[in-house]
Amino acid sequence: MIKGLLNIDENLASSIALRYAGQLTDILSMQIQATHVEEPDAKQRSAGTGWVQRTWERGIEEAGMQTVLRLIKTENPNCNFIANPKIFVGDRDDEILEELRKGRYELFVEGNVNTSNVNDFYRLITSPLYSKSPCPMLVLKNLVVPKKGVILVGDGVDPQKLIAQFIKIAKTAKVDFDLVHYKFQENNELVFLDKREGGSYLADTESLLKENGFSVQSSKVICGTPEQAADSFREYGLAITTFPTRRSPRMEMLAHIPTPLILCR
Amino acid sequence: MRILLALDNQSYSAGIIPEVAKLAANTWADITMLGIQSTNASAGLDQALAATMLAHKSSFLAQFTGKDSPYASPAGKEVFSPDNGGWQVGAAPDSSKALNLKVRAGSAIKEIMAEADQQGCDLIILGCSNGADCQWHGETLNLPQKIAKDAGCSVLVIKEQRPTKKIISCLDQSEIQQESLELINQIVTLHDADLKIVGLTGPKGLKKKEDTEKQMAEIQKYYTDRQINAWIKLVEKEGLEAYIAKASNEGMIALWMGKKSMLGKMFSSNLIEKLVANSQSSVLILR
Amino acid sequence: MTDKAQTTILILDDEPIVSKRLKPSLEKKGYEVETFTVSIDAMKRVREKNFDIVITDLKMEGVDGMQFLTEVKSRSPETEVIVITGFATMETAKESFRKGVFDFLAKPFKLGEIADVISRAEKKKQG
Repeated sequence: MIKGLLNIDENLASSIALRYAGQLTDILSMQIQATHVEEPDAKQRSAGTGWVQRTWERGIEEAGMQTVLRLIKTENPNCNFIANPKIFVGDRDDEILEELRKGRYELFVEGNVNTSNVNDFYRLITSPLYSKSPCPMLVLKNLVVPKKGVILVGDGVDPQKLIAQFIKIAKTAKVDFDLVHYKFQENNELVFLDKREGGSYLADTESLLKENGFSVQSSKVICGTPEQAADSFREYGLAITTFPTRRSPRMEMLAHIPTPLILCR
Repeated sequence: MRILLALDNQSYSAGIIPEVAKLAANTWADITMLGIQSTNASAGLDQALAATMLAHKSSFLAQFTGKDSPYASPAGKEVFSPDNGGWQVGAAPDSSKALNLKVRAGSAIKEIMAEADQQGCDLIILGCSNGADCQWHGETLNLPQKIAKDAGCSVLVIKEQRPTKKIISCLDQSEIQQESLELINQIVTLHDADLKIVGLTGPKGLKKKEDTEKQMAEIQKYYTDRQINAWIKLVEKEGLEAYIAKASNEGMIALWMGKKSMLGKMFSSNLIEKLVANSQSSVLILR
Repeated sequence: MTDKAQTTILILDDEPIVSKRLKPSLEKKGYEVETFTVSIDAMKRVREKNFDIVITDLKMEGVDGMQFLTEVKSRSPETEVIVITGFATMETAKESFRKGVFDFLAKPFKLGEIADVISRAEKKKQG
């Protein structure tokens, strides 16, 4: 069973994340620990020392707990929660990273609403939390029913690393996956190529999957602009790939993809 | 639902009849088909336009088969009779829903607006020439754009007859009206299309980010409760015009421009004209 | 309408705004209106009382509008049912009429439009 950490804040992204997580636990054998980090600003931090500081922190934690419980009650997700939400006070990225390491989580889950600005996604994946994460990160951009998944390969993807992580997550999955190789091309519309055009990426990934007893429903190569390619993944409820290491058409495509996205390394 | 269908004798008008008939078959709307003649009323009914309007009606009725049509076919040959300074052919007496033909003389824009107002229409539908041209033949320059910009109700400009697979709705989530959501629902159902909801972010003139997100969450919940996959995209206010221009190649743009709409305040009225003119797909202006 | 029994109307729509919009306007016209947003509650009510006119949405959680309409017509065939829907399809329109609805209105509609349909339904009932 996968152990996942779900970050909850009081916003649209978390509302999406909670509802999706409920659906996700239907298709992946997964236990979820909810968490929330209260980030007081510098002025609030200097409120006092010792007992005063601790009492103040407890108050903040209590308020955070109420926020998270209220959101869970509103969304009423059908999640397999491990325990009560864990509330931390401090720097969001630091606290979550610490919990991910200490709790040996296998997946981090959070909502992040899709924007039209590629820089928003770039900032997210280069943030301390994402760049130092010890486990794969599931970015929930939209609320979709995860009926079918897709494994994304392309420039900069190491099939070996991707499949090693994919297997850990998907070994309990009750959905089928497709395999898609994305190639950048300035076309008027998206072009589908024969899977032989995918070269070693597709072939290597397919044989790795086979070696591990997995098969995909279909493999294909798609060529187009990042937006065109991203849009074509709307039929999927879950996409999995490796972190893009630099700004590239693949990174842009991942920025635009509306589907919930697992990034691993 | 009441629909005003503005028609002329060009192929783009004939081309929109099947789509309107599909919408009518789903919604059982009351329909008025309106043609405007360029000659004065004193010169009498433009017989060529009258014949075209009757042909449009036949083509509309031909889309319905069997007994389940709410629009009864005429028993015999139909003729226009004088009506309020113009001419009309009323619905067949045993028709469940209205299907009226009207011809008016004068300024096409004025007459279309007046008829829509008088009937309390929910939607005006019109076609136009394809591509960036988007005109009505021989009529006032930029007629579709002006109707879309100035009408008091929603307007659907059908630009071409390619299937609508996606509807991109820019709703100005802060003040969206129930009626606009309902019209989007009907169009989504009609085309079995995907729906993308574009939310606006940005500091100026918009509510706080938390409020915006709360409203987007409510809109999304409204759709997901109704089993409609609604994809969310947040766009910064400054980038909206460019985003819409690009997205108009992906699918039908639905833009909420009601009286309270921030979109209406943020952009010059030229935005609608530009959008209708430049879009590759049909455009729905919601009010 | 003062010298005869008030026409009774039941409105069922899971969107509260519909009842909120319709109820005051119809009451002003002299109708006796009961509104419901939960289909099971409305179902219970039609088992207790026969209404002259029932206005129902089609797409709702729980008992859907089509089931509700069937129940109303089987219990009280003289009740005139008006279907309103935000997600109209040709099939739902056809099925509604096969089940004997008086009229089918797609949303959005204006208050005047539904008032007109109600008045026609009332006339039909009064013969």
